[in-house]
Amino acid sequence: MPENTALLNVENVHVAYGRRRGRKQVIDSVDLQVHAGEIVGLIGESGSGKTTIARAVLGLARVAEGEISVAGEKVTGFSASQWRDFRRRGVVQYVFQDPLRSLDPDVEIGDSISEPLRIRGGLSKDEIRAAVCAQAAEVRLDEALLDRFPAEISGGQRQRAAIARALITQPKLIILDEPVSALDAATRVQVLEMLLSLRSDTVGLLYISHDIGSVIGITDRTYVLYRGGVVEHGATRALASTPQHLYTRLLIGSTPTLSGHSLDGVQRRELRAELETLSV
Amino acid sequence: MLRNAIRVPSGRIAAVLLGIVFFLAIFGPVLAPDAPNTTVGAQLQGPSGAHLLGTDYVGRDVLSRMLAGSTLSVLGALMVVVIAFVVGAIPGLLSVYLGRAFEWVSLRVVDTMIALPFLVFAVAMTALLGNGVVQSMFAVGILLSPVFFRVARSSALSVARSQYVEAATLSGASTAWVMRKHFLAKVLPPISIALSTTMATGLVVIASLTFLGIGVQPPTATWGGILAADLQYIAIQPLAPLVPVVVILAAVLGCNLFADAVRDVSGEAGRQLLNARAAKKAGRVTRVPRARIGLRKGGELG
Repeated sequence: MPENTALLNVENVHVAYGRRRGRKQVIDSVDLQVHAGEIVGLIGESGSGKTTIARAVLGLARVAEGEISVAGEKVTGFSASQWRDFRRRGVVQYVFQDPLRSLDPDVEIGDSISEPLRIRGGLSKDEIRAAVCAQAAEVRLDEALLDRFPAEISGGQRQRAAIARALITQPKLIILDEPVSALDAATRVQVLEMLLSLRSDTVGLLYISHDIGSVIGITDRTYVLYRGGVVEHGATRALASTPQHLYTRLLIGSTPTLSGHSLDGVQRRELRAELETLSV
Repeated sequence: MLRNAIRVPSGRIAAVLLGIVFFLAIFGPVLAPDAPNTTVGAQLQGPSGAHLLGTDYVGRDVLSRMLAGSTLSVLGALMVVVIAFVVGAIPGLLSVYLGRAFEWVSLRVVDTMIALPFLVFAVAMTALLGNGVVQSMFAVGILLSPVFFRVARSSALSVARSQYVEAATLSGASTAWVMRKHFLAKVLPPISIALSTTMATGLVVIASLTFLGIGVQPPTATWGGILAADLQYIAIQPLAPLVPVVVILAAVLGCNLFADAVRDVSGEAGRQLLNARAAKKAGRVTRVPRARIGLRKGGELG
């Protein structure tokens, strides 16, 4: 697939927080593409800049250098009103890590799901209700739960609701930021299966996580982020079986399995030490 | 929210009390049997057929003075609340949205206002602007405004930095949308609680200022003024202060109960309370017979 048709194209992007002496470079020359029909993983440890990349794509973090385009539109350099119009079209949607905080506790689930449509306007109440019911069915959320408040349903149901809210504008790009890390193992599998069922030729998913297990489980390609830079990327299978970069090796070797870690503590410490000398 | 407040007992009592108070404020002067400022009988009489609540130290009918004074007393308290709200709540909200400079300055100003001694400030205001009803209301209103500033600011802070506001923004919501759909529901309960408690404080403060001779001037009747006069003659008519005290107490209690009711029915806990009450009414409650969950040392709980 040629690169200019990518749903999401992040090119040589730098992001820094703070000003002057307090300035800290958090994203350093990152390139990343998501094509239609693809589920792309973005993995890295806490503080590696995963969420910052997402925030840059969404216009919440200022891009210091480089270019981001979403569905063929160059979003870097958008004005506030351009951002608002772009967001109302619902081309790109974001799912937060913790649905308990991303859903307003005083708003019924159904109303939270329909909010993007109501903000956009132009639909009747019945049309909105129908859209919400259809969307709830798609994420396997019981219709009876739509009149409840976030505190009255379970964690898995809340995350389904949050995903339904993201899907209701029929976005082309969905960014999921640790969508299952707040869930227990059984619920996690259900939500991941549901996400896999969303795969279609017109939609691209960027799946952000620190949990290599779920990334290997559902993504086609993976980018490994370490200290604000992409250190390795490629097909997820190849990456998991033959990791090239030290950090990827450490990441995969640290995954707990039923038979213990594939690397023991000494090996992991050695790899970490080697990594430190490398990045200085 | 108001409709829900009446669904709890404290809300109903508050509604009745406040209803009486506002009824007095509107119709009191019309209902007064005698002119409030003319001597109609002997001094310091106890209750009798001619003067239901007796007469005061110059022989004026107490009932008439109470009724005639209610408009000014209630209106005064309301004005205090409005001034405190405008001077406090609006800068409180803006302190979250207008950037750091405004935030810093407004916080320092409020800290200073909290540190001001109440009565000294009121006396200074009247010395500066002249002794009058409006001046004293302004003094009290400004002094009570930090309550609103804090309440408005803290609720605005919690909403403005929440993820659901960010989620709405990411769907292209305007500031007006965020205010209407997410903000009001969070800010109204604490503000209405502050409103009713400030109303109660306002009633008491105006009464005590009248007591000191600041604000309302004799012979104009107010509840606080009547109380002040009664207390001077307590040796002769020990029960006389009870009349204004009961009325002021009822008004204050009404305000506080209303605030309680609003607090009880708002938010998460409020919804559960109302649901539980509705279920109880409909007989849908099943009591769990003493469930016991225990964890022994070394045990597991699944």
